[in-house]
Amino acid sequence: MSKLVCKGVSKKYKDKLAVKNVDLTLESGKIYGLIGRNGAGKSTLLSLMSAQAPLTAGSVEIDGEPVWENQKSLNRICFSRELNVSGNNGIAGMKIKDYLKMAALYYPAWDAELAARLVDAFEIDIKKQIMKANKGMLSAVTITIALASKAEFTFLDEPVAGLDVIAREYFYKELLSEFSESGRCFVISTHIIEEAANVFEDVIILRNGEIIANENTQELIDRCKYVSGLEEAVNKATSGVETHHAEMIGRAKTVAAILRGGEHIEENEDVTVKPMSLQNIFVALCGEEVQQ
Amino acid sequence: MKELLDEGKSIYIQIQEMIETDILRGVLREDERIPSTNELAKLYIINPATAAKGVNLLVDSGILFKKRGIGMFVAPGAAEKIRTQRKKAFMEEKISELLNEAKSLGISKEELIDMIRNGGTKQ
Amino acid sequence: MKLKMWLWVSFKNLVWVLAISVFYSLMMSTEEHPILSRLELMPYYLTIGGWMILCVLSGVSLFYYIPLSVSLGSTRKACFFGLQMIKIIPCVIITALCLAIACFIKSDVTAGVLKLLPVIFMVLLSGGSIGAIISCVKLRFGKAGAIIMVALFAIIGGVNGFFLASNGKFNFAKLNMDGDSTLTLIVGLVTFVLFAGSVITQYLSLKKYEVKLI
Repeated sequence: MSKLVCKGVSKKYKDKLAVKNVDLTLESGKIYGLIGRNGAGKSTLLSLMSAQAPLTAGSVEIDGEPVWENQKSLNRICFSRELNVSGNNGIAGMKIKDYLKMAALYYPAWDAELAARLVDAFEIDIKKQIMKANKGMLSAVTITIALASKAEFTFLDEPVAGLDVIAREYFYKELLSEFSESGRCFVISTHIIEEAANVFEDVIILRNGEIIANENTQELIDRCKYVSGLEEAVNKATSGVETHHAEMIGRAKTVAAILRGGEHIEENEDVTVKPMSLQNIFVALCGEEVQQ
Repeated sequence: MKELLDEGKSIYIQIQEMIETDILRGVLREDERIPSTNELAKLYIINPATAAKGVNLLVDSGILFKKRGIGMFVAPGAAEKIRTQRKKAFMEEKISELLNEAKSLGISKEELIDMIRNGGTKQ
Repeated sequence: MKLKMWLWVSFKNLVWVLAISVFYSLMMSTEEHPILSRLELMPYYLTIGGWMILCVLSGVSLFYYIPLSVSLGSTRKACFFGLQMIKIIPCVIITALCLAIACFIKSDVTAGVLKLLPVIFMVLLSGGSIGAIISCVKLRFGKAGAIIMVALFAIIGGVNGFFLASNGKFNFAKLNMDGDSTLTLIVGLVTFVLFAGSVITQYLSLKKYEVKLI
């Protein structure tokens, strides 16, 4: 089993710390979800882990080998970036066909058959220039590169953003079948949390450049509960428990309780305990600054 | 086999319950192989590790058994076992929920028993 | 290092130089001097056209092939060597082409070409170097760099226009061959400074290069 280890990773842009002292271990054979609000540092973190941006502090290593300027490690990573269509810079004028050719040239384990199958299934018009393709097609290209790269550590930045529901379901199925065949490590950043939650074995929540949660998705869901009822009863039931995102209407109070090992909230006639979805948990943990 | 997954309920519990329901309904029979975790993962679009967790819960409770290198099979007497477990769960969860609700409505135990006797309809 | 890609880029740039040279010779051909009879002037067009095209293309590479390569998992070191390849390879081939033409067609024009081969090579190399420096300045200083870039392109255009306007009146045949050692020395010195400058600025630009968008 391979491991990608980040130690004390930080990234500073001018005066702003985009990523703050992140410690993170990624293991092969796992699908990670990377969630966070816009500007939380998701893309920056993926850039740093794939050595596409220099670190301000810290280190990134795969099985003890540094990633920065090390071809051996870089050959094991694929960070399939979102494609830019501004047309002034970068490869916006390049044909999709040529971009795929370049990827085939660069990734040592490139699977041309898989790439061709995905191009077909997503109906990618490879003769189009990148800047002339629509958002869905660009997402499909990003996904094709990521899956066909066969890289041990594959990062996808908002892969489903431009896809319709049918293409999204197809993507998740292809991802899962590629994953169960190969046991690669995938990190997927997304805003569309609800439908992706079930695919993530572990979830990493990023807030203002810091990791505030990094654990098994189902275990996190199991230990987060909505507690609601009469204010005093809720306060009593949740005393000593980590709570977030309290909302009051009259005498009624609802809080998101995050239970640690051994903690339990008993439901009774005055207090209702309800399960939370990953999206609810995300809002509870990251939505506090916009609550007022 | 495919049913929709609920939000907010652990996926592996739902996988466990769905396999149980299939065994009760005779969709899956004793000594039959159940779908592999990878097949379940692709069917429900869930992580294979989560599917495996649900399946393992059933192995632990003796409802499924593992044949090395082949897969998971429905154990003999699985349906009976599930029925017993569900009865127990019914008592522990549904009945206590019922009692909580009755208490907040001020329904006495006797009234509640009467209601049950009458099959939930008004006297 | 993806040698194949950088070779492909070098040849692509070369094709652009050939295209612009053919375009020039078509513009310049008159009834009394149809294109083929003036093939001896081709080294002249190749040098001027090559200087301009290589300047633009070696500059553009920094914003095109570098983000692409680094995002696809190339090291910055390999990219640095790639950029040197695309600066040098087209110059070598164009110079060789000029040599071939001079050997093929014997005239006083091509006799001049033969003597000036080192100058041709250095002029071409200086073009690529200027483009490389400008692109690095733009990467580092953004908009201000871009303005400098535009200004310099205007100068390039002006110089080019001057040569076009001279309409073949100024060519290798008219250069004072006696002074070619001084000419070679001056051009050599300027080219050396420009090339060294481009190597240093490209090294500095790539050392901590960050992919922002591809």
